[in-house]
Amino acid sequence: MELGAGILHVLLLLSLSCLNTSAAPVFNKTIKMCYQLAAELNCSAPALLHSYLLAQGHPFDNANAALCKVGVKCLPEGHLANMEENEMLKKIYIGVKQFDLHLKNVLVQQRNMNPHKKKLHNELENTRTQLISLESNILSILHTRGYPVPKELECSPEHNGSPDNLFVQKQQGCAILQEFKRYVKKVLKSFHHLLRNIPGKAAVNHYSACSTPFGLHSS
Amino acid sequence: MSRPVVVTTRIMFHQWGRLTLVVNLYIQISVCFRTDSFIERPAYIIPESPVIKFGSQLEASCILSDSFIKESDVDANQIFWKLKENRIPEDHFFTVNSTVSNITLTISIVGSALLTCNVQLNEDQVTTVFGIQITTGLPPDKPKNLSCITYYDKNMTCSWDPGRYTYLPTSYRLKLSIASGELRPYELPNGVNNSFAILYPHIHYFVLNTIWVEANNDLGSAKSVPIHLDPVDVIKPDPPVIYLVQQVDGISTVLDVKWVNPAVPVTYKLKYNLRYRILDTQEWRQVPPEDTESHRESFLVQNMKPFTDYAFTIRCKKNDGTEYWSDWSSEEIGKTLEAKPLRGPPIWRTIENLDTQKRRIHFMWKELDKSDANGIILGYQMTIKEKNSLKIQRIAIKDLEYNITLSQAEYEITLIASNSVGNSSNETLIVPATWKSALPPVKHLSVYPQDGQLIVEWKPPVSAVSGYVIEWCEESRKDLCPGPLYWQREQKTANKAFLKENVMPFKRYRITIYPLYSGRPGAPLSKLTYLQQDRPVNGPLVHLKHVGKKEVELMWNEIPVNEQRGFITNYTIFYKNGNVNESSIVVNAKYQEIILNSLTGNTLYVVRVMASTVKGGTNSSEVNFTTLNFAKGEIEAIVVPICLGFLLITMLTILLCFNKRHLIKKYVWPNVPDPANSRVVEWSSSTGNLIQNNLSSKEPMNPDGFISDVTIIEADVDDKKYLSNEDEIKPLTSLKKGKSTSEEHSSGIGGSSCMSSPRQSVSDSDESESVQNTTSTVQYSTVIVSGSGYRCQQPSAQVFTRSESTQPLLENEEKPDEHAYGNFGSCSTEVKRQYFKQNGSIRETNLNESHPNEAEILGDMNEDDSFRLNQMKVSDQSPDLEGCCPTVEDIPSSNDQTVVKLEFLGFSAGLETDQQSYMPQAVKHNSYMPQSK
Repeated sequence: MELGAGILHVLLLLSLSCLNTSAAPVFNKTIKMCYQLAAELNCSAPALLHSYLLAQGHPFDNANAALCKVGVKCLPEGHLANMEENEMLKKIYIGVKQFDLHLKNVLVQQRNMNPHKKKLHNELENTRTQLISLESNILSILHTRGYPVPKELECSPEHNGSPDNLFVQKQQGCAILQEFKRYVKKVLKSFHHLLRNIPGKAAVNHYSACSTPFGLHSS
Repeated sequence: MSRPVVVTTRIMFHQWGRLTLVVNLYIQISVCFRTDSFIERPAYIIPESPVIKFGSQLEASCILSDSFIKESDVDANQIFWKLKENRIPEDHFFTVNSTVSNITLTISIVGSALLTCNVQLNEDQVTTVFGIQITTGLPPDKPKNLSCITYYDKNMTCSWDPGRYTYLPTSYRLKLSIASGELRPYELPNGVNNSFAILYPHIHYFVLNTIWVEANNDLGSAKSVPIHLDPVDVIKPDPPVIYLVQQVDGISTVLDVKWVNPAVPVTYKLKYNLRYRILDTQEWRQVPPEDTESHRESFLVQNMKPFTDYAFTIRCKKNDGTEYWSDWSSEEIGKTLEAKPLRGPPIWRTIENLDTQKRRIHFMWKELDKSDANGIILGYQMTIKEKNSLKIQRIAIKDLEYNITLSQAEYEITLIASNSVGNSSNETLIVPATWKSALPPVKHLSVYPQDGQLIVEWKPPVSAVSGYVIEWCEESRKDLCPGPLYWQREQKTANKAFLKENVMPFKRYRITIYPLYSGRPGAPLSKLTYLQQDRPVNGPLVHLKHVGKKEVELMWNEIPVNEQRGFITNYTIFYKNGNVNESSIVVNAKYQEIILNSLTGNTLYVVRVMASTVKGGTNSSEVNFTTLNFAKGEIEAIVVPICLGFLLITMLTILLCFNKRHLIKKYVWPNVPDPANSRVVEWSSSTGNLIQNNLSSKEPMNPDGFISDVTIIEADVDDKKYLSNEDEIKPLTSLKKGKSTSEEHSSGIGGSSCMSSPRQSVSDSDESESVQNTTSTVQYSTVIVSGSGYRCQQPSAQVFTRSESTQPLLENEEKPDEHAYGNFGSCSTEVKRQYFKQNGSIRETNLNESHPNEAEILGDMNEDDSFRLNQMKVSDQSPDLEGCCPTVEDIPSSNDQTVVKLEFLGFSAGLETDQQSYMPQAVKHNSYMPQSK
């Protein structure tokens, strides 16, 4: 059944790409959705870090930067600017996937470590959902363009063993989320750049600030 | 490169799976065949638990086991089938061989049913050897109308139409995949087949989701048409939350509304609908949508009414999509600042004339509507200006009324309302001079109820008006409004209005409308009306005005206005007698009396009067009456003719008697011989002189008695020799009879002579026979006068001796003691006319002396005279006459006929006392000689 669904989507994308009249709008829409997702992540990443630190308790509750300066394997490296469009998309795809897997590990750790911190779990889960959505959109674009995308990551967080030490887990989680926050910002800029270069671009505002319900603003 | 490999692998897996299934089936069948339970079965049915589609055919086989066949000595020919205890006709099954019977059935039942295989062991014995449960149902329909809605941060709910009910356990799965190919199936919980919610945080926003629904049961599977959507595009956001509505300094027509947007994706921009209403109304006004198309968190609402409470509510949706609007937010209330009152309060008046010079005017005005007051009214300023003298009086008032006494001149009243911001414009009312004629009224006025209110409709007068005043009051008594007066002002353009307050159903209202000509009231026009009518509370009070033989006149009082509860349209009079069907008459409402005719005489009637409105009638209490036996004048009509007839007959009789008086006289009063011609006259004159001389010489007239002997001669009346003719016999006989009859009732008064004791009356029983004998005989007496026997008697100037006339003596004279003079009192005229014949052997008589009672013989004497005479005689009785001597008066007769009238003096007293006497008899000179005492 899963295979059927996959085929269905491929056929759908192929059919969309084959139709010149409708391919451009679909592409534009997908780029726009990528940008919106990046914006969402950009706004939710600081909140996620904040929630994470709150959930870890002392000494993580005050977002002590020093505590989170630990080395984490398989994080995206390099910059995204001045890259070829497909390459950039591919790089973003790989980076997003890496973070998705990192967050998967963090979520597992937190479910074990803080089983009652449902809000944090949901935020982590929601971030992963958004990352998967972003992956899916980028993949669709690359597939549409026929640009090859590696199935396997060269450095996959799945293969990294989870540290036994809870403090280290917290340190690593904090480091991942801090890095995620920085990375998403770069991704957002990249998509914003992409969106501006689209011919017949859709009017998209630049979201300089994130608003949260009932007037609360997160930085 | 990898996808074909995966596909190949999956195909291989499927093939392996099928192989595994076949192996498992074989193993199970093998185990099944080897189980003891199977061996012990006498038969089994294939298939064992079939699920078939409703209306399709079922083929089944019943296979008897060899052991059962041997033990029971049966074969498949003896098999028959039953479905739900109903034997299936034989044409539906057939025997394949000695052990197998096949059946083909079209199942037209829904649900489950038991199909059994039965064997007829012998004629009497039947055994059920096996049974299976057949389940019928429908394969799932293809789910239709799949749609989803996203509640951000909560869930995405997809719903669809599952189609027909399948009657079978059917599973539904919502499946979702995103572009990358990741597939997520969501199994619906049992009992749910038409919706499913994908919960946060598993909602993939900003990516194309492919969603479809699959349904499966034993009869098949179905899959909906997939939909492709981004959950963001189907977000139904929560409504914004208005947290503040605040005034703007110095602007009374603006309010600043602030709100908090709902949780939406950060890139999700909203547009809004902002609406508001005055708090007391339900009519919403909306801020122009183009003014709220951008994402925002506050808005200045303009063009609002000052000092007015407003309720605000808002909703939102994505500004660039066609998605769902959020629900309306809860209301938040704000109030604008005050402003000057928009206009003066409407003013009206009532006028009471005190005398020819002054009138009391009660001014009243209404509070300004909130929309006109623009704030809190702090007070009113009234200006009263007399038109001619230009006197101006200014009054500050806080109330809503003001009383003042003014002259009959014209006045102009102006009223101003004030609040904290300023004053209103003037409201003017003219109080015209009393001598001025009123301006014309409205042309036509009609009042009718509508939607629980009274609508007043009118046609404006020809002249231009500045407005109208409608007055109304409850008329609880006829033509009277004792209660409060209500009024309201209407604009000059109005031609109808609802009465806004104080109008209750079932009450009569008098509606009056005045046109206003620049504040000057015109002539009023009034109408009576009800908001809602009902039956009268009570019926009318019925009275009987007149009851006759065949008619009755009824009248009833008008029902009091407050009990009518509607306009009386008519009265219905119901009347009946006994069990006879009730009759009715409908009478117009303006009448309060009726005459019922054609009734039956002497009959009890029950009558009631029903007063009716348009809503029905109410009966009066029943009134009973009985018609008369006779109509008025009917008795008189019968009696008067009878009386007249009787009178006529009487008169005719009298006339007849008068005409035949000679004949009657001949029989009744026969000619009596004139005693003056008898010899006794000569004798008596000489003898009388002699006696007179003797008496005058005071010598005893005859000491030995003047009359020495009385001889009673009895003569037979039948002896015709004593009678002159036959005509004289008849009345005599009748007289005798009458006398006898009267004597039967005699009280026995009187005696035979003065010597006789009155108690020794001839009416004593011993003498009654002799009295009776007189009917056949005429007694002639020989009177023996004893000088010493009558001490009480004074000597009479004239002494009559016995006449030698051949005429018979008067019976009274002869036997006065036998006359029960009481019979005269009984009005026996016959007795009064009694007479008797004297023969010549009668020598003398002295009635006066022989009767203790006093008697008169009256001729042509009226009753007054008689009465006077009676009184006189009674007064003379006791001392002068020593109580027992009668008096005699001569009353000359006017003609030759002799009329004898006897009358008693003191008759009634005489009945009770012993001093009864005869009245002296007056005799005409041609008949009897006058008799003196």
